[in-house]
Amino acid sequence: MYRALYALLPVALFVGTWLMWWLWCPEMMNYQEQYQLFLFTSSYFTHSMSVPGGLVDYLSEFLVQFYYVHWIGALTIAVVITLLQVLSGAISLGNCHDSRLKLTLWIISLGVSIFVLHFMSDENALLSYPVALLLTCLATWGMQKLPKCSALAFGLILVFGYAALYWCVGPVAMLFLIISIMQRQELRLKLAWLLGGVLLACAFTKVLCLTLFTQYPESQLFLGINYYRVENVHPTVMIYPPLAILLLALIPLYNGAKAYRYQGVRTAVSLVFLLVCGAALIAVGYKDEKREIMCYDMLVRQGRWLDIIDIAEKEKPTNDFCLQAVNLALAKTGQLGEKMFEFPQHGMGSLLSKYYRDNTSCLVSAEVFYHLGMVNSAFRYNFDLQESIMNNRKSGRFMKRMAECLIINGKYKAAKKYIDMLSHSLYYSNWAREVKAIIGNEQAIDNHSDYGEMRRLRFKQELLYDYGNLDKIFGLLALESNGHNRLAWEYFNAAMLLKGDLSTFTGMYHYAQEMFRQAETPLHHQEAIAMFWTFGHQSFEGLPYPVSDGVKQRISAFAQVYAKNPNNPKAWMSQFGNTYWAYFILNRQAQQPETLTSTEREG
Amino acid sequence: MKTKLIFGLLLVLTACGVERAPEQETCGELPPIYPDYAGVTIPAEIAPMNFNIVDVDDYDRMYVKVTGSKGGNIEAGGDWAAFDQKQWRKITEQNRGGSLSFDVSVKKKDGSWQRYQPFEMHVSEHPLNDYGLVYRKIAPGFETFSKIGIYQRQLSSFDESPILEETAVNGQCLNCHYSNRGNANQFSIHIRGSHGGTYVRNDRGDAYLNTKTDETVGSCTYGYWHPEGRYCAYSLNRIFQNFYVGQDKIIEPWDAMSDLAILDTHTNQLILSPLLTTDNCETTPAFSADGSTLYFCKAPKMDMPGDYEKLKYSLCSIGFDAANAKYGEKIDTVICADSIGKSVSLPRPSYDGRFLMYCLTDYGTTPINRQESDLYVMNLATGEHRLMVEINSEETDAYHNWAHDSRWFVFGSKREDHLYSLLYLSCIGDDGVATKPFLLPQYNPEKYYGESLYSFNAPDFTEKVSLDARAVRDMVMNNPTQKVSVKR
Repeated sequence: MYRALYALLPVALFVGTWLMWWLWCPEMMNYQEQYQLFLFTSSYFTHSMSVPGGLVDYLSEFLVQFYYVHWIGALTIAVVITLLQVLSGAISLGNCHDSRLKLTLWIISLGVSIFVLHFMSDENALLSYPVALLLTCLATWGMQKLPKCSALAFGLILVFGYAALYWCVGPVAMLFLIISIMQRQELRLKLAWLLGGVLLACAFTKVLCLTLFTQYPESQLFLGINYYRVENVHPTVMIYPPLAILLLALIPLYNGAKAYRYQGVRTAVSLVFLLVCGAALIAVGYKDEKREIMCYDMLVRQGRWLDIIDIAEKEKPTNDFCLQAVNLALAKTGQLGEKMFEFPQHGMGSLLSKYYRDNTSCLVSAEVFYHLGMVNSAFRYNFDLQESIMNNRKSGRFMKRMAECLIINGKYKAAKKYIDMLSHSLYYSNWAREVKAIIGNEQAIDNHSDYGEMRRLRFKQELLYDYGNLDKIFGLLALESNGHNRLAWEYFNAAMLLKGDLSTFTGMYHYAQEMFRQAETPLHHQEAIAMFWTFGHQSFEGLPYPVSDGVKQRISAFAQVYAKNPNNPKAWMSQFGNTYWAYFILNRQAQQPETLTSTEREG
Repeated sequence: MKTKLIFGLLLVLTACGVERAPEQETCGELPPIYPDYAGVTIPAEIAPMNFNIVDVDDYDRMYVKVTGSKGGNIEAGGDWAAFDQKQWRKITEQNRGGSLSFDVSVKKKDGSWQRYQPFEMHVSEHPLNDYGLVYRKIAPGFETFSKIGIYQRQLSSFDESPILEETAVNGQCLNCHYSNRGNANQFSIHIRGSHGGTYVRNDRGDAYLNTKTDETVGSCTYGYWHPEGRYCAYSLNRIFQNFYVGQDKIIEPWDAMSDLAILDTHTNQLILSPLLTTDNCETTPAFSADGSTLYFCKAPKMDMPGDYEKLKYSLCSIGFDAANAKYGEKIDTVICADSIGKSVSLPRPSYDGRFLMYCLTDYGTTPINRQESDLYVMNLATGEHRLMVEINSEETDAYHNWAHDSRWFVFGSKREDHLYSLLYLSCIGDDGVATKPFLLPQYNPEKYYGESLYSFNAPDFTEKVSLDARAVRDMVMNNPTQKVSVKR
């Protein structure tokens, strides 16, 4: 039974990791995949290899491209995590000469994978780090198998091996150096070797800093250039996996025989302990509200509008990012005027975000611009999103969207640049081939189901705008399309309601029937009209807009409750919280300035 | 012996690598090459003008034989035309003042060859002795940036090396590099961000200055050195930007306020003039060849951004007495925006005092964002100015600078794809007419430019710059330690 654990443990780890990432964390894979673009070109390889740790960057980016298909992506993660356990366990077992301790060590090696899984719960954690640890373990295991040789030969192998490994995997190669020295049985004066080795390794890195890598801070060469997406940031959790590998390798070398009793109990205790602690660690790491954002982002990217609404109805989103996704989904399914105030709206930010200099905040807004037909704005947001990727990688997702925007606007030469690049990728190459066949062919693009439609929807006037006057842009876009761009019309109305500009909203209402042939007035529009009417009238007599009797009765009821409790929203929120009136009372913003505003560049 | 044998074998193998085309009649068409080097004029000192064959179906390989009008020939072949650097230099030197004829044949996958009509490159008799170019590589983004850096590129080879990259200064934004006529020891770089400041190197060493003062509207932005090297003129700008909806234009940066000042790099004082610190917008200064005149662009204050299309800059000048650090008493208008209905930007007088090159756009002050931006040249002796039709394109042409001898110049153009600005070189004659510009050569141009996602920004000629990026990092991370003072 004990022997079976040697095989069962990695198998269970593999299956568990695979299922966990595939079924529980697809949005995290989607998030990671969109911040890189692996290309099958020689220059991509040479560029990757030009920095220490370049090989693991290359390998990990090769693997991360498979995240595009979630079950395959999860499989690659499972392979890395399992191999890491197997190799770190193998190193430990290789140093252990008491068979009674081996199983415990094998079980403890699970800890390495758990620590790595915990690290990977961070949205900026790159697969480069686990792959670097994996290759280091492989090299260290190889050193363990090195036959007996002279101290000089060992030293030379160690020095050149370290230098090569450092270049391939980065500073975690230090692990290789330390374990290789400590586990060498015949080596005398190990401490001197260790000290000398570490000093030599540091000197080697220092020389690189002073010669080839003057443009990098020294800390990056000592702690890793690309293990973590944010430059010069190295979270504490990164230390746990190498520490675990080190301890696993060293424990058998310095452990006495007395402890090796009660194998069954020890096995069970260590297994239960690891499983409980591991589950807790993973649960804590992966229970993050950022995953809600990632989830909405993934669904928007995949155009799963009904799923977005479904999720939002189960748990109402509270932040603008998710609300933008929900509002887009509602608009795409023609329900924005009907349902938007069932969710807690926060003003214009719930429709679209102004640009923030990070790689996430504007993901949905970029898509909103595209679907609205504000093609140049979609291009701009996608361009800046790509440039905001903190480790300076490019993005298949953003680049594809940028190319689409350029195709729609007839900028074929620039589009071709991106298409050519994407044709060297795995999952964007089919698309690249398809569009390459039609690029430059105006008729084919006009007839294209997406691009042709966007050409008809897009803004054709050159107008200067700023975030502050987007509502007017929605209106112009809708009217310019002569009833074709219904999404822009929905957004215009939503913007008017969110800004509380009921005068403009009601004033423009006749276009709903004339231009957009709106058969029925959406609920929230009725609520807004009814409210605006009550501002100047005592009754609904003579109301020239189609407002149902139900809405009229409800607003009367709301007015009565509100009049009694104007400063106590709790009294009316339970009954009217999903109405426009509640939003209006609680969130009405000051009217935006009519003049065009601007953004100042950082000085 | 063994090494020699290996090198010998390699040499033989390399020589064997060029598959020569059989003799045959030309098809009568020019070869479809990238970049378009047919008819360009090059300096003898330039790196090999390698090129690719593009848009040929079933393309297999090519062969090119180069014959000099004054003798010599070289050949290249394979996937693209990559000339041996030494052989190239030899043939260009041999044909200085003459021309090179390129006889190109293309082999298709079925084994057949097609020979094209030969094209010529002229080798100028004017040498280009500058070490290389300095430029900023930046993705042409809008509100953010990623990898950004200032690089130098040797003109006689393909070697490019970073002077300063954003990785060295912890993600701060690097503005353009301004040197005094390519002097590697007199230049400045403005750095934006939380550790922003102006890095200045001159004969007294390096300094990292805080150029924001209570009495000026902004930090030092666009710079230009006085030829004597003590003073550097700057515009102090507060730049805003808006965005377009539509199909062509995307971004519209504009100055809410901008004044001019001259930095005395010996005393770290900003010398101001009431004439240049008005409510009007004064920007992009440039000293005349003798340093006695400061050219700049000036526009009246507008109600921005609403009146953005009315914001047109005139080319103006004011005297400057370097001996006493004093401005002239009046501003002269050299080109009046109202009279031409256009906006002038980036005046760049040639260092020999013959010409002044500038950009004209419909409005505004950032020609790189304006598709209609074209280069114009003014003959400073006669005052005549003309559109340089021989070098402009339908896309943005801007950011020009002169080589040390004022014969060669470099400029950025988005003619390739509307989006990315690449560098072109050209030579100007005594009559002010320039030669057909050529794209900065690369070892494999199609691959290099096809894979590049950078604009080559604000190019200038330079000597070889040596900068300790780590020392600069230390200065930047410690924030500017010296604050400039103001002298009126």
